[in-house]
Amino acid sequence: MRTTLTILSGLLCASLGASPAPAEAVNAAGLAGLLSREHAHLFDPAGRQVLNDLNRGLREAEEQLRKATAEGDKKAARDRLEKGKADLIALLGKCPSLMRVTLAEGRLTPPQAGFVTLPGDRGAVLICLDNGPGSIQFVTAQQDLTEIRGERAVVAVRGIGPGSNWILISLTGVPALRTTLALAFEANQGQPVSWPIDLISQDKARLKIRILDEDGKPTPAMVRLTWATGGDVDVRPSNAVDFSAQFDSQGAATSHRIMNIPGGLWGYYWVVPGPFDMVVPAGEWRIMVRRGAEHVPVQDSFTTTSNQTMEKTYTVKRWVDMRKLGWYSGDDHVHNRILSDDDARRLMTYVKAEDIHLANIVKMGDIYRTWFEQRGFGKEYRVIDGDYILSPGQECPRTHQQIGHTISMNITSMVRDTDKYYSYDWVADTVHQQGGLWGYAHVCGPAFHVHRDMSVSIPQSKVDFVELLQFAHLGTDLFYDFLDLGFKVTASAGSDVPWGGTVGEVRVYSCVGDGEFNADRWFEGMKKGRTFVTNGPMIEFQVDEALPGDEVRVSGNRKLRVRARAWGDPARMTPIKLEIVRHSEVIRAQTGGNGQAEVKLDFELDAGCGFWIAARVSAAEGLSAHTTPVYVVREGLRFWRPEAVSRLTDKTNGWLDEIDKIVAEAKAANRAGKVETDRAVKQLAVQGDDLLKRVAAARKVYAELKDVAEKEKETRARAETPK
Amino acid sequence: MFHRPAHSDAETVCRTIVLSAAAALLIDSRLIAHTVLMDCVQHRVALAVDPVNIDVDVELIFGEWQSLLQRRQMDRNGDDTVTSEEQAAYERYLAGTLIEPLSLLIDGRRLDLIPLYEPSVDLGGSNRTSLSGHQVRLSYFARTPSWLAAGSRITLSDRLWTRQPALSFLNVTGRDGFRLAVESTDPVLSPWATGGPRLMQARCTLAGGPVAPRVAAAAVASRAPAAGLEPHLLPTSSHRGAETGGGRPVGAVLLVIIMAALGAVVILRPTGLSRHGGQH
Repeated sequence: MRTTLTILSGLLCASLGASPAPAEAVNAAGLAGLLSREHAHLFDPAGRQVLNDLNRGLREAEEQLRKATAEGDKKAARDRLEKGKADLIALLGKCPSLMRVTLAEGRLTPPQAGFVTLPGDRGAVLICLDNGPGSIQFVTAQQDLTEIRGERAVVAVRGIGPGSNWILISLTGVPALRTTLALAFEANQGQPVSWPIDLISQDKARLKIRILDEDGKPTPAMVRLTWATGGDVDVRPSNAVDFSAQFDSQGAATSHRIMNIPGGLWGYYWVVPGPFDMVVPAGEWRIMVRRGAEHVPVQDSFTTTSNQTMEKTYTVKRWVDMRKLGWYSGDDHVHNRILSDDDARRLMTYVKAEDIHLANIVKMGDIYRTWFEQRGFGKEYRVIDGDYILSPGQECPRTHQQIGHTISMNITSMVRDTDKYYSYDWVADTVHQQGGLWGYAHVCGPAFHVHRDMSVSIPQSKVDFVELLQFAHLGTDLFYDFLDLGFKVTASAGSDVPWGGTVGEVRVYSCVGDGEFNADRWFEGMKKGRTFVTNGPMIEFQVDEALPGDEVRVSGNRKLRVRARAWGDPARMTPIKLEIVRHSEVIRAQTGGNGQAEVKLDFELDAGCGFWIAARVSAAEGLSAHTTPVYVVREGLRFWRPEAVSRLTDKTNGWLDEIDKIVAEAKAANRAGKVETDRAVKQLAVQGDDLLKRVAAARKVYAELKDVAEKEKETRARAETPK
Repeated sequence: MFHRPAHSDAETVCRTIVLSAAAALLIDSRLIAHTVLMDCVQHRVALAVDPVNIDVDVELIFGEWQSLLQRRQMDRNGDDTVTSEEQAAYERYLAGTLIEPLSLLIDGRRLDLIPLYEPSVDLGGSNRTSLSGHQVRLSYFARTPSWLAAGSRITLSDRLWTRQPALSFLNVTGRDGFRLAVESTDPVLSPWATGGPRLMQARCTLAGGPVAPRVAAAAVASRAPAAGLEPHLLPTSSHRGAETGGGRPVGAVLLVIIMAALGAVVILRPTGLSRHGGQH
């Protein structure tokens, strides 16, 4: 029998080309960690907790030993390790599915392992192999059974030493019903000794999930489905939408989207278009269902049982309906290819699942090429389904080391000419002629030296909006600088999928008022600056009757009424803090108490000589929101921050200097023939003079601003003198 | 996919050098600027605090170019396929080299971060050494110190792949009476490699957990900072290399790049590695 098994295993290894499972000797912590993370199902809940504690304790002791210099400390650490090891062995000995086998004289007793039941298509086999006198070894091996060619499977387990061997074999891809494997133990430098084992994959369960909206209708939603028993395995719902090809292999080109948001919603989700019905392993499950910022996420856990059906219905309720207040969500930065109705349908399902009403689907370009092709631009190429709209736009021009990335919305054709790639003003003008909106991406970073072209184009009044919130980060430095110089800039937000996590993880709300929602009205709200950006909490903000983006014109000093409200999902957005920012400084703040999900401010403020004023919110775990300002304009004066003008014009002139420098460097490199293969630098050299003309024009504006500041001094002094 | 005839060891070495050089040149965004976002390594850090432990999970998502470099490192025999054994060896390499890549400070006092699990690599369904991303997951923990209180500032200093452009995210969770808020990630988006640690900060807003299991200060604080100085500016001897050189893995990557570049100077000839596809 022994000979037969040995020959059998040797033949199998040799002839079937089975890829041997990576097996290795590990220490006690290695085994405890693997068990704790992936195979806790081998133990009962109390055992899992002990395992978790043991893993931490063993690793702490290892660290203690690594750092110890004194002999006494080393001994203490070693003693602690030995104690932990003994405790681990005691725990392993109590594992209900532990299999014991003895190897003596090349023979295994018992000669066959018998049956092991796995919870599903993955699991683990824990074996204690007694190989005569010797020490204690911990050995791990892993095998994906789908990788084994041929009809019979051998899993090689190397590193078996004399003494007690605690072996953990992790298995994935285990077929249904009964699977017979040969475990080939390689011990004592002899031939592998084969131990047949039968795996019984526990019968599957059936899972039927329905997700409903508040009206009781099935709705697309974002779903995370986790098989806890199998080691927190993420399971793809059977009907999850696959739009990965539409990402043109860029960024995280997958349909498994991560939500970049602080707190418990962080993590990966699938887009589920409607009810799904699938066969799943039996055991403990967790599910998270969410639908964008305005809905309360649903979390649940349940247990599926073999050969039984688990039916679950989840209703995703709103904690707020911004549509009723006239505000509609958007994402200004979604990269996705739309070349067919099928492409459009998949993306629309995604956008609906994230409850984004207007997604600016941007074809991307750089000076070399474009990505994320669209069928066309303009109204006829909008995709509309109820109050959800996909509107084609562009992210181009984009220069990374030069002057930044730009976004266009509501365009009628792609605006791109690589022979004037650095003429961002030409792009802005053309977009505006098309009735579109133009602005900057990644301003919150800031990234890609976007500050450089901002310093050129904002003074020329070319810029409609800037991305203030992205990648879970609200970045206001550049925004505040240009506002303080008296330039109007509208707050926007975009996810930058597929580099960002998921559509709508940050969003811009545009006010369309009381009328019907459509794309034109949403863009009109953006154009007026009636926006706020958020990744969770909501804001209302008014100065007198003016909304964000509006001007309040005053002929003299008078009282203004400032009203603001911040509120959030009570379950996850408290405490919430509301701040009123004027000229970059917080002038009022209100923080809600624990459990208080809404705060308000209502106060009077002197109009003085004018200012910009906005509201911003921070909520639990780092969620944030920010409005576009209201501009209080005193007749004859800019709404700027006068005391900062000199500092800020110096700063912006410094940014213009940076452009001078990169153009000079590009020209020098071009003259030296060093940039023939680098089109971005080559074209910067070729097109540099045009860019420098724009720089000169911007310098002129900044110089004029300094003059204006001087001239305003007298008026401001008069205005501020009490009568 | 790559299709090449069998080759000798020497050829393999030369080819690896040339390809690494080409990849290194390609990831130099100053030369090939349009690939910047493909060059990023996303650092997604999750910090969870309970009365006993502080867990820090790091998910590193390598953009296409960065992933190609790492896959070349994993693919030891140069056959353009990362086998399970090669992946396991790379995971062991990470476990051996990523020692103290993160620092955790609470109110300026440093805690020891200890590996909780072995590093794991997810090749995203493609085990080829081609342009596709991959993920590395690292897990650490520290014992919750007794001085962690409402108002305490928690600072994570991330020295992982500091020489590569990064997108950084911090997620915080409080459990069993603890509540946290993100204060800042610095910088959240740094497409230009800084070479220095990336700082992420959170604030403890509620600390209501039982005191008993929490570990006394003396047991966990490995070093108190000098007065007036930020502790992260005071590297221990084991940190110093990391802070000046980006840590051993970064050093290793740099070494590969330098060697590759030197190799390229000597033997680089047109490889046909296309600008956009990166295929041969």
